[in-house]
Amino acid sequence: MGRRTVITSPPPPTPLRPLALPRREEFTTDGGLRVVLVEDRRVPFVTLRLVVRVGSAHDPTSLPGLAALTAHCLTQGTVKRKSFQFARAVEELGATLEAHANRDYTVVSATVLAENLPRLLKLAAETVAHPAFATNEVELAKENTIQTLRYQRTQPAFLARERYAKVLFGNHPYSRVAPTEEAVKAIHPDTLRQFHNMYYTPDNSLLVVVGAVGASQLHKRLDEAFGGWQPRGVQHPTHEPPPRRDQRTVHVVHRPGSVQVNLLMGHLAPRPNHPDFLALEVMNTALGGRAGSRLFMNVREQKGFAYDVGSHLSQHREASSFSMSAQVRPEVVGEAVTEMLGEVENLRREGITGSELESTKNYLNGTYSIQLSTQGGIASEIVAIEMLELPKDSMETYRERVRSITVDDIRGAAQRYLFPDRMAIVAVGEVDAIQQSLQPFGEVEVCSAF
Amino acid sequence: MAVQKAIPFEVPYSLHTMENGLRVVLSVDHSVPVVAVVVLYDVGARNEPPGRTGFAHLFEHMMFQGSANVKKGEFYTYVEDNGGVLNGMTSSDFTIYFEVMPSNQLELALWLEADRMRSLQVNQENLDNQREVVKEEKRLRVDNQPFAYARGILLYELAYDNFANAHSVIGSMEDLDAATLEDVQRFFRTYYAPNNAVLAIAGDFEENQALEWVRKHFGDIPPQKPPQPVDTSEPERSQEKRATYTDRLANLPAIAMAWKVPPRHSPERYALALLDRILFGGESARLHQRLVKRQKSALAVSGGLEDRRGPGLFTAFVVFKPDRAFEQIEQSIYAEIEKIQRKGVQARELQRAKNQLRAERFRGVWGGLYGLQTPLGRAIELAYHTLFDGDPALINTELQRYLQVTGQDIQTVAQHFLVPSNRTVLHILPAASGVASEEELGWDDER
Repeated sequence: MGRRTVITSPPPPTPLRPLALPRREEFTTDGGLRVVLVEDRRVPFVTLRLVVRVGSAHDPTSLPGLAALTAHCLTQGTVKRKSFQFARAVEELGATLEAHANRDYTVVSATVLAENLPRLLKLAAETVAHPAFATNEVELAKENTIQTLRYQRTQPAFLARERYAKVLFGNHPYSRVAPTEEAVKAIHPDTLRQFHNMYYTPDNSLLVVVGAVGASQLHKRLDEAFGGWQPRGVQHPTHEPPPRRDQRTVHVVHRPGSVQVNLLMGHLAPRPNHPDFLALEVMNTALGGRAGSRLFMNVREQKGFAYDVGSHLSQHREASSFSMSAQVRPEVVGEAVTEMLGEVENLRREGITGSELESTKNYLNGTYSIQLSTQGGIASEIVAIEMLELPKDSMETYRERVRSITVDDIRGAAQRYLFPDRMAIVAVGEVDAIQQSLQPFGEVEVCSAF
Repeated sequence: MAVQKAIPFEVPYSLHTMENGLRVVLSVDHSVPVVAVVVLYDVGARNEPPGRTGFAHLFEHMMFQGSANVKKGEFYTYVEDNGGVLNGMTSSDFTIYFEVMPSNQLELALWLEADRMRSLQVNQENLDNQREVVKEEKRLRVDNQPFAYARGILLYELAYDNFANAHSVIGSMEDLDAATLEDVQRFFRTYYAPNNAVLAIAGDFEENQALEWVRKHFGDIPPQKPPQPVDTSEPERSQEKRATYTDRLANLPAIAMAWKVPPRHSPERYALALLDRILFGGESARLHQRLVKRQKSALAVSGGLEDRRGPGLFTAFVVFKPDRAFEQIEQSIYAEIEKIQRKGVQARELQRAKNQLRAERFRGVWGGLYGLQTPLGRAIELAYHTLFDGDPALINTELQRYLQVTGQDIQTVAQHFLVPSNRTVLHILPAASGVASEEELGWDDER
């Protein structure tokens, strides 16, 4: 081989190959369970999400944690199998099956080798339709939940999230990110059964299947597996919207022994189905949603204040939030907050440049393709579209809609939806090391981690 | 249980070696217009001498700070502005970098990786900046988290006797402070050479085109004298090692333990991997059943085989309820191990463990990122097999080795390795202030 010249500028792309969007098939089982299937035979594997629209927002005010505990106990034994037998039946298939409640819905997530899918479907049906809620299992789950709560209180990220939700959402149920010990103690097997009866119905659920299975075979298997599960009609609770904020406030959570400060700051944002949400998403990505973002380049790469810094738009049915986060050493906490608020001010004042917008759009559209390259990624996207009530064709139109966002849309979104002077600033750390530095940003409330 | 016939699955690949020693492994799959590029360097924390701990990881950060034709910050923007994601990771055994891109940007990713392999440029300002970033990373991951130091660093320092294996990847901050620009340059010359690396590309591309680009961008990067091999051998232990650590951030007690096990190449590791699933592989696994369900003493049980290129560890980590005694938890773990040593395992649980291994190939062990369903997962797995084992074919054949393990093999490795004289036991005492009493736990008290 002869001597070569070093290429000093980036090579151009070749023509973009089209992304074949996952083709969705929809049907409803005899029992009334709606099913979305993406047939994907690249690997002999299947990913499932059985979604029930019940989350912590459905918890009665006196029983925070009820939806979470119900979800947990779903997999701790069914009327047919005790917890060990159930776990063994799942794991013998090379499968995983776990249930988890978030604010708006509960997801039973499962993965399985394709040849064992029929048997996994039966087990999935058992958990959602016929959980046992046996007394000994519920007692153990309660005891462990209380201990876990206790453990969570030593984790700075949990403490930050907990205080932040409380400040942002006030009396709205989104303000609760974990159960209370009193509530857990007050829950009995019958409490779980009633709650389960009320919400766990096929007409309140959705099954998303991505993997090596065809529609007709799946349909038949589901009719068999979910045969006894009956629609009952579900009433969802309604809530007053969370409070409006009119000033910036600071909330220090004193955590003795902290060597770093966990910062979490922000305020409410429009819901994911709001017409401006996509502009906000593009804006958020440019501000703090990736490594090349303004927050990362400034707070980490220029200042060296943090390893992890960024911003985030949450996606929930009833209210969303815009947040920035970083973990910094106590000496620089004031400067870090100044820089982060400054980046928001900057965005409001000047928006972003045309080239920054183009690259942000490329990033969003490119990573969307990457997300859609795994079964789990496809399944999560379908669940989000359904549960957040986004337009049915959101997946198909996403990239085109991203492309249509303009610099004016971004500046408009920043001015309409970002308010640095109304943010809640939560800081978890040693109070003596940080309180003074945070005083300039607003009235400081100090609370204990425990 | 009846065993359903497995559906066959193979990853195609081809292996090429450039004149400068760069090994290139390719795996084509046109199903999604995405391509993953992985560069795996044969250097990790194990190459660090005493007084230079944390250096391999700090160096990984420096690889994003600019090269001859890519200014500071531009590595991120070139990848992300063109729709890709990227990262790097350092372990005791290796340092790995990856980009996942829309497939029409493959050449860009290759150019970026080649430019920094050829001509990394570091200056004092960037070194100082990344040193601070790494210190924040250590505070975030270790110093400010309950159990993180004891479980993630101290256990290894105790369990290994050879410094190369024992010291942590994140290293000591004093050592990092002592690192000079010259150190960084020397490290780069020694280890970041084409003959000390594997380049793997997986996803949507044409082989000939990719090879042409690899030659164009990497072909004239000069090879270096191969670095000194690291001695990772571990002396045998003749007696148990015990220690206690007081964790000022924890409010629950925990036990961490480790047994020394042989290197990645040894035949025993296949049986150890299945023993891992039998003891720790899910809620039906033995230790979860015993400690969490029947005895109701533990909150979380984890552990298993930590495979390294050199000698590895088999570990257990149990967080338990404050009214239980260390002795009780420890004895329960031993009792379950002794049962296997005496009676072996059931055919049924062995089959379960094998099915779990088969499924993990597709799911990936860390949240799906590295499973064989993604281009990135395939590229990483091919790179590992090429660098560590010298044979990418293992991506398809290795599974058979696991499926051939018998109950007797498992009993034998349990008898041989999970014995008192080969183990390290660490008791972690909770000492977080303000959490002792029940009354303080209610979270409404704080207003």
